[in-house]
Amino acid sequence: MKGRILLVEDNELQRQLYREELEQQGYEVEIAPDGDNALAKVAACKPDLIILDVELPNRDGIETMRKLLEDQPDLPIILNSAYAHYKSNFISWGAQAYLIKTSDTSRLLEEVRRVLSAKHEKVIEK
Amino acid sequence: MIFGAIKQMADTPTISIADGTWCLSTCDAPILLLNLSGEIQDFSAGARQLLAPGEESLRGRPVSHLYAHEYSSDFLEQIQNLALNIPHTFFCRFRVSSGGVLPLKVVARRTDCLGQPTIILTLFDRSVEEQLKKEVARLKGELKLVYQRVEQMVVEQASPDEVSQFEISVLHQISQALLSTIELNKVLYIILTCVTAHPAFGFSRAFLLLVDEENQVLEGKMGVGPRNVEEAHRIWQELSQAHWGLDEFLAQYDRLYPDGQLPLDSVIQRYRQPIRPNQDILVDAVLTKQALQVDDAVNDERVSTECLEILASNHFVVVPLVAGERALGVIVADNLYKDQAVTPWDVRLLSLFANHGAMALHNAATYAKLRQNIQQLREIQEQLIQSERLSAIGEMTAKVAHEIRNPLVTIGGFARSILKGLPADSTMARKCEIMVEETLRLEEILSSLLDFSRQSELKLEYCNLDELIGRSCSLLRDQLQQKKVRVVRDIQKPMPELLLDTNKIQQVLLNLVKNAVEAMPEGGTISFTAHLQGRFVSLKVSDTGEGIPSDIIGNIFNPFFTTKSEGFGLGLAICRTFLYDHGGNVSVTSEVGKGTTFDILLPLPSVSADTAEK
Repeated sequence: MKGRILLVEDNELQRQLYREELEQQGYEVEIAPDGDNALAKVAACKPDLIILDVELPNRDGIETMRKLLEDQPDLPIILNSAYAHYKSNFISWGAQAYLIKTSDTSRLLEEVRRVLSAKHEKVIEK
Repeated sequence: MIFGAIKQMADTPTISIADGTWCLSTCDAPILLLNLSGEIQDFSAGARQLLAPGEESLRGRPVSHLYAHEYSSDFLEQIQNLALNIPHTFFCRFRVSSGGVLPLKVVARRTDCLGQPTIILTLFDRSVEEQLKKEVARLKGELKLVYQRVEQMVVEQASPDEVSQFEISVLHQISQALLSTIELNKVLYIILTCVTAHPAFGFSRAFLLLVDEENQVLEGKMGVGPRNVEEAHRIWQELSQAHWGLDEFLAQYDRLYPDGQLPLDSVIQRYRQPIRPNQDILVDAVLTKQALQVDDAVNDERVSTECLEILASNHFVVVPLVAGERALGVIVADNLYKDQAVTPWDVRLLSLFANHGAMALHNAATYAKLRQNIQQLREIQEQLIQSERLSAIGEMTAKVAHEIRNPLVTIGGFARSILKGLPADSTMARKCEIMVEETLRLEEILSSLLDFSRQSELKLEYCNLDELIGRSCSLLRDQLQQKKVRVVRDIQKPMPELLLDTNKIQQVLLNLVKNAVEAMPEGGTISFTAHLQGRFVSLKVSDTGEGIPSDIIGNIFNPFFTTKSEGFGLGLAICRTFLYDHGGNVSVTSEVGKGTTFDILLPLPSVSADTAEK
């Protein structure tokens, strides 16, 4: 198993698309349809990486990220949003990457690979 | 009222006038009080001195017995027909107890004293004036005649009695006039006109100087009066024919000075002296808040050479305009063209009047300042409306781009995954490739056209959060007051300066405050609390309003979501976008019936600098 990913995404079709792509690459994928759900699941699912949409009902991705990082500052998070404007702003919050959603999922997969291998190296160093 | 302050003169008899008390029996001014049948009800010491010295009382005598004219019945009829509270001037002759006949000017006024209809007659002895007239007549034909006539006309209009005898009605008129306007220039003009107008104080000239608090100087502002002897002569001749009351004098402002410049303005505007001791007598009056009198300016050490040169007057009086604890300025009055001394009585009355004038001046200045503030607020609000419009357009565009991109991602993404399962070079694969390429092309169009149409550049500057909050609240002060909303601020001290786009953050605060006010139709409290939280400042904006139901609270930041009948539902969406632009955030908690709290995170400068670099 290459790693466990918590996919936080409210759009059902995109959930399906990303899940298929990620599972094809050998990742284990858990799903959360909104921010609250993600916060509730994270303790039990212990993901290696979270892919987080920004536009989410109830608690948006930014607020969810803040809460997640409060408890686990080292948790790798990739923000994945159809909004382009905030691209640069949230790296400083502690996200590993901010991606603008695209039909070319290879970019997301590449980012996932990069982040997880970086995490892996960190663990080995320790 | 001014008369309240004059009451400490004697015990009885007293009559009540307006809300003050005038002690008639010891008053030097000759005043008679009549009932409507013309019988003398009361009289002043001055009246007895003038009309019946040595006699015990005038009380009960019909005023008609005093007339020296055969047509005295007309006089009684005239005063009986006076309109209430409007002063009227007569010229007549009274027989006095010594057997002589006294020429008089009589100002009659019908009023109510202690519920009784009463006629107040104020008498002005014209005998000196009459004698002078005879003297002038005797000298007729002589070479100096013209000059003497000028002098005589001057004296005619200002016999010593007239200057020292203050008419009751005039004080009322002055206070009414001062209450009638809050325009600074008009108040200044009324003050000076009262000082110079013949029916009031009747000084030759009056000047008004104001304290410039910021620069600590006393500056000349306005001057009323003739510029030279010829003009004095001409004006007095006109006035002696016009028989104006104070109202008429005041009504001349717009006619005489359409450009707002009074003839003596330029004279006094040359005066500008720092406010410090031993500078000049006018400054002394400001510092001591005391009325000061100068009887020989040339030899008076208190009078500076500048002051002497500007006023060019050897005797004058300076009274401070004191409102509360502060001297706002001074009035300077003189009798330059009348060549008569200023009496202590003049100074005393002028001081009383000056207190009244100072209050009016203070009000006018406050009003002027207020008006300026309102103008500034209006301009800022205009700018905000404009920037809000732009933000709304940006927000809509971003929303459109977002809504289109999401299905494109799905279409293109699935097309790609289908393509992976198709044999290469097959017709289906080629068709699928077209779908993939076309969606990518559309995505690129979106990126280039729509994503960056929204202005997201920040104009970052260092700012004080507390001040920014204060400024935002002052922009909405009217609404806050109207809806009885209290604002409480609790900002952790010391609070570092933040690097923000102040316009955008102000817009965020305005939006939140506006929403809070709307959520509290019965009034309440908005509290701002701020403290440092890691790399951020957490600013909580709470209201005590109706709260947001839990089923909609998740949507309030979404563009076009609204519960209001007006607006597009972009307010909070824009707030969040602006905070995102800063690398900040906003979240909300609410309890129905208790209130709502917006928790804003603003990055500390090192964080926002990172954001700006990227």
